[in-house]
Amino acid sequence: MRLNWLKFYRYSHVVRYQAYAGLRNEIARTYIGVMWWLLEPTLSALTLYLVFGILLNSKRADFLPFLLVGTFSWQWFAGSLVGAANSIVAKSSLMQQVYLPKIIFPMVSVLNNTWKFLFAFTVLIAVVSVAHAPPTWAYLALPAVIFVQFLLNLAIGVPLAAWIPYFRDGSTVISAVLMLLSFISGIFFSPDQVPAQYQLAMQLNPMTILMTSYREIMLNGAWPAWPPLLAVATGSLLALFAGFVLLDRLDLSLPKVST
Amino acid sequence: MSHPVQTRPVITLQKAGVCYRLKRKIAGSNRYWALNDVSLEVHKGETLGILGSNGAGKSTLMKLMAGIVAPDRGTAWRDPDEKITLLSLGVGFESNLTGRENAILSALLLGLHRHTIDKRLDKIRDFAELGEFFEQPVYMYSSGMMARLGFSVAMEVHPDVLLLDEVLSVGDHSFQEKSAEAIRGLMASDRTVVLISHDMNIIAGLCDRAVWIDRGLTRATGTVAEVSAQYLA
Repeated sequence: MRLNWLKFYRYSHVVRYQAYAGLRNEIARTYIGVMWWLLEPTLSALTLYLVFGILLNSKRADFLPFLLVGTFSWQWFAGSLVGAANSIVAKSSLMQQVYLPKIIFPMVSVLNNTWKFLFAFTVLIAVVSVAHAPPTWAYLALPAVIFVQFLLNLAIGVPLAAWIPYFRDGSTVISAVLMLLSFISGIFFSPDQVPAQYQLAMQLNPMTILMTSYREIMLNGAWPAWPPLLAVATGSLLALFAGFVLLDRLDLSLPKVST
Repeated sequence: MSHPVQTRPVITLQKAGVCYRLKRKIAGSNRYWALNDVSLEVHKGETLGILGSNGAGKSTLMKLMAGIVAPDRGTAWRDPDEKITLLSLGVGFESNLTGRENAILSALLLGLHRHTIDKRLDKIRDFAELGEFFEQPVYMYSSGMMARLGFSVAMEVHPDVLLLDEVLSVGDHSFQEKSAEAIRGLMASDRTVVLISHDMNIIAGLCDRAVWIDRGLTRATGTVAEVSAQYLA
């Protein structure tokens, strides 16, 4: 490992300032800035509501908050993956000029998306607790669920960041896979609505586990099921460690590839 | 140069080569050795000139010495106790951030600690002579102003070993003189500097020793007079 703790301290400043700079840049590029962080997932929830809630007449009473919770967490997941996957390629000129541990790039992308999510999700929590169900003690589990998703986003984002410089076409593959996953992960339906033989497969999907947990807490005021969350956390930590080792091994080769 | 030159090496390359994989083949191979076989030593406190024409492998050599890439053959040893920095202007600049924010970002990327940066920000602002523009986003800057900001940040990095890739003077006439002066000051100090150039006169005027690189190979090493004699022969 090229990293030691002293360097880790210095690079943590680099990560934080890069994340801040990226967000500032993004806000400055648009007219309504941060409001997009809220509007983007809300608009996709409303689209799904129009199709499944009104046109196909879903019977769920809580369908709108159900969709909102799903799209907000999905947006965080998908945004982190796409951002992280392209993060090293996007900073290729920077990599030619200074040495930086390559793990920094996907981390900055995931962090940026996390700030956006936390901002939007705070507003969503306020709206859901006023308009749907007041908060219960189960809300105490929410930070843990959010942390597990943070680990999952990093665990998938870091290996993708190492892969894309060697195979640029991979970004197209990633968007196709994300499209498929967005339909089968249960943004607009829950696992108990699919035929019994598919339920097990669905419950193995980490994003389904996370969305179910958020909904359990925010819509039903109940504690989430811990064993599946723990499994996602463990799997993510292992994958994250593997991704970290992979990026460390490619550390001095990536600048030669990403030109 | 009058300052004493010790012979403790801070960077040692032995038969180092760096190869790039290509998408289109050159001469029947998809590997291209930008550096073939380079051996050199950089000594603590000296100003070493690296001479070479376009395509000689100078930039790859800089990346190798800066620790940005690893050698694919041979060895590259860099003293882990020395901060070795390739001086680049405007590293990591984001167009929507202010001059101040970009100075912080760039200095962080070049290896300064955050608290050191806060102490040196005023010096950076004064040296860049940007006035009120220091607090404006850099997309409002002219290219000369951008270069001035980049140069001022770079001058405050103070690495132990400075790798310079032909960045000697930037901006308008008066700033060019000021920046050239600052660079000469750095070289005259007992800092270790590696200067890359294709211009023999620049190397002869500033360096203690020189290395001539041609098509990825070391062609000559020695005092500036010795190397220039072979280079011009």
